[in-house]
Amino acid sequence: MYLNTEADKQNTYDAIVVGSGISGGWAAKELTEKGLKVLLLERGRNIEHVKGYDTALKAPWEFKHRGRLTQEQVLSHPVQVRDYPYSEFNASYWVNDKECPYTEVKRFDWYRGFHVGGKSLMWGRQSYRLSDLDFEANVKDGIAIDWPIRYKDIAPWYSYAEKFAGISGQREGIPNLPDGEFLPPMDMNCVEKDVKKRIEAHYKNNRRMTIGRVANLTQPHNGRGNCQYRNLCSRGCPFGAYFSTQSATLPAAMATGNLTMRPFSIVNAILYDKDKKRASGVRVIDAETNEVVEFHSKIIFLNGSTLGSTFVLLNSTSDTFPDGLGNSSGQLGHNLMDHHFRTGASGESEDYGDKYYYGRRANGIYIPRYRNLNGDKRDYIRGFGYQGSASRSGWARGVAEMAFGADFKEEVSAPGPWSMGLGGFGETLPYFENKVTLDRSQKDKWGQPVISIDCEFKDNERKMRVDMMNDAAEMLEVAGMKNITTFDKGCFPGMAIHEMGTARMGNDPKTSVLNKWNQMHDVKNVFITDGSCMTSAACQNPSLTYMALTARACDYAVSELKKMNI
Amino acid sequence: MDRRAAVKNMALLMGSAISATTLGFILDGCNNGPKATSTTFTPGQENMVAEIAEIIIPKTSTPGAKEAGVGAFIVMMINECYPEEAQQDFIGGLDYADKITKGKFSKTFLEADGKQRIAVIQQLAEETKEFTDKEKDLKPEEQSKKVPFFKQVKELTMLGYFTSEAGATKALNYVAIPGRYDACITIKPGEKAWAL
Repeated sequence: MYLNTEADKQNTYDAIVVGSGISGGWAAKELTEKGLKVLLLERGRNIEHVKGYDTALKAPWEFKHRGRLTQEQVLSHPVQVRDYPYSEFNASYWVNDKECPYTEVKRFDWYRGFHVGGKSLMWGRQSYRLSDLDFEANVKDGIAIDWPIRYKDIAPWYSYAEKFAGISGQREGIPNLPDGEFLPPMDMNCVEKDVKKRIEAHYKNNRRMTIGRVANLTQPHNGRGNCQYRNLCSRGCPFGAYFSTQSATLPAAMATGNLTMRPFSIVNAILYDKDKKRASGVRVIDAETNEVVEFHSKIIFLNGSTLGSTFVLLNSTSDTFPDGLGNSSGQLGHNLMDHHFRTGASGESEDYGDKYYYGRRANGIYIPRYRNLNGDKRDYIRGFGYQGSASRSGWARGVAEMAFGADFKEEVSAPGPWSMGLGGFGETLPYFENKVTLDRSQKDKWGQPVISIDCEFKDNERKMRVDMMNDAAEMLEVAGMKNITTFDKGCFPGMAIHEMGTARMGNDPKTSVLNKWNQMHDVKNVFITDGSCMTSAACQNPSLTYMALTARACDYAVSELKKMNI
Repeated sequence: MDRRAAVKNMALLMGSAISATTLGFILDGCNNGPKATSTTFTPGQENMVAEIAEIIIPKTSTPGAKEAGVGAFIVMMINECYPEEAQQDFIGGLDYADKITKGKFSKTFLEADGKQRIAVIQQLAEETKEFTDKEKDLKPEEQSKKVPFFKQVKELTMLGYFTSEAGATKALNYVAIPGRYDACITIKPGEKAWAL
């Protein structure tokens, strides 16, 4: 047999990182900075920082359809069109659904972007710490399994991640929403300040309202420019003013000279060496040529997004792991979670007619969870937080009216009334039966099987939504708002784009896939630090937690490597 | 057996639940699915769209819809962003406006003068209001899925105008790169709203 040992050597690294999104970018940065030679694999195309943001500096009139989608796009992106994120403004950042289908046993909206940076380019940037209220929730409620970590284990890594990423926010001293290492907070406008004052007074500080903690820079930071208040983040920021792989972690990793990045590299499976009981590398399909290549490394960080990573593991079968790599627990693919949202209320303010704002703040306000804590007890467990904002309406308020003509034009060209909206983000429980499996009856563009998703919200979420809607209306009423209307637009898993839980962390290898270091119980040189590691969902936006867990896991992995334990 | 039936049988044989979406993917893969089509507007119809838009957003101290090129924008949007049925409905709306004009003034919409055109659009608006008020009392499944012509043309006129360079920078106040956020500023009566 002919062995190309030279090529083998060329394809060998200290570490392979699969996926270049928020957590993969962090893994690449941490591992290269610790001196490892790292191969970063990305299934999609490269998007270069600044240069690659095609639409970032376009004026509204430079978009032919002013942001709307053409019939052609609607037909070629049947999943991405189900909700707002996919639009003409950043259409090229979203997948062509037909090239990578999946099976929906129940409706699941899967929003994906295949390119360097992944969803770090389009994310909502809200960045909150979890607390022991969250880490202790499962064990206290007696559901699923206990988190193998507590707040004290992750707190220093939150600080580490925040200091590098640049999170602006206000320190508040709220126990269940711990303060971080914040850049100066963005300001609340007149109406928001008023609403905050009235809510906090009425509920005697049991309900608090703070400015959103957001990964947008309020001052220059680590060589990146501060936010210009254009509120066009999801097109990519030419000022590098929000955290993304491109603006932050990738340049840091590149600067070490230890990084090799390979776009168009679809990781099809992780290779397992049963003698050494270790992963030996990955099998890659070149997305452009369909060529199959193998790469080898001492350790592997799997950061392909929750469902992407789960696919890779389920598709990595061997005699030892016939049901997917590291799946001796049978938990792989199970316990899928997302947040549920799209319910709340809005109201109008009759005051502040002579007040306005300058600039488009890419951030809103946040009301941290207050349900089922401090003595409050509901007919469901866990809770929700609110995001929201106040603003003056623009011309769009005139669309539904029957008026037209000169007076109408004049009227809608002036700032409209103030309104304030609150939308809840609720925790979803980890249900074993909410799961993904491989569907070998279908193939994607590259001949790979697809995943089948069987996931639904249940009673606990449905009961919580009643409060999410009614509490919002009640708080707006307390805040003196008029014409309050409630809404529940319905929510399907996937819509919040916070998929979590399919390779959960836990202390017991019999009931979890990863240990407290995000290390596979079964395969010690594989680490997973994307959303799939989450043991419960909490109600906070999760990305900051992935950043902190990634940095922590990298630190552990490298120390284990040095001790020759892996 | 045709392909569609074959795929359905396959799904049954496997005994697994395959959703309509999935089935759609497989089927669309073999016949390329529905195609986006476009309707041909006659020059007269294009003209009529531009005139209606100008009535909705007329030239005042700031440019009107015509100057902002809204007529051509609407025609393009109807052709590229709407399914064929909605395109036909829109053309039908133009024909109906002509019919009203003929009934009222014995001439076509384009032959009518400014005041007459406004009267026609006023009648369209009133009929639309009557229709939507009635719809409100119906159950969701009984409501028409069609967007009334007046609503459609008005919505696209406003979108086209206020996001055009003329509309955004002259009727409204457009700042490409604000550079900072001032949370509470005091404004005087007559101040324009921010574009976007």
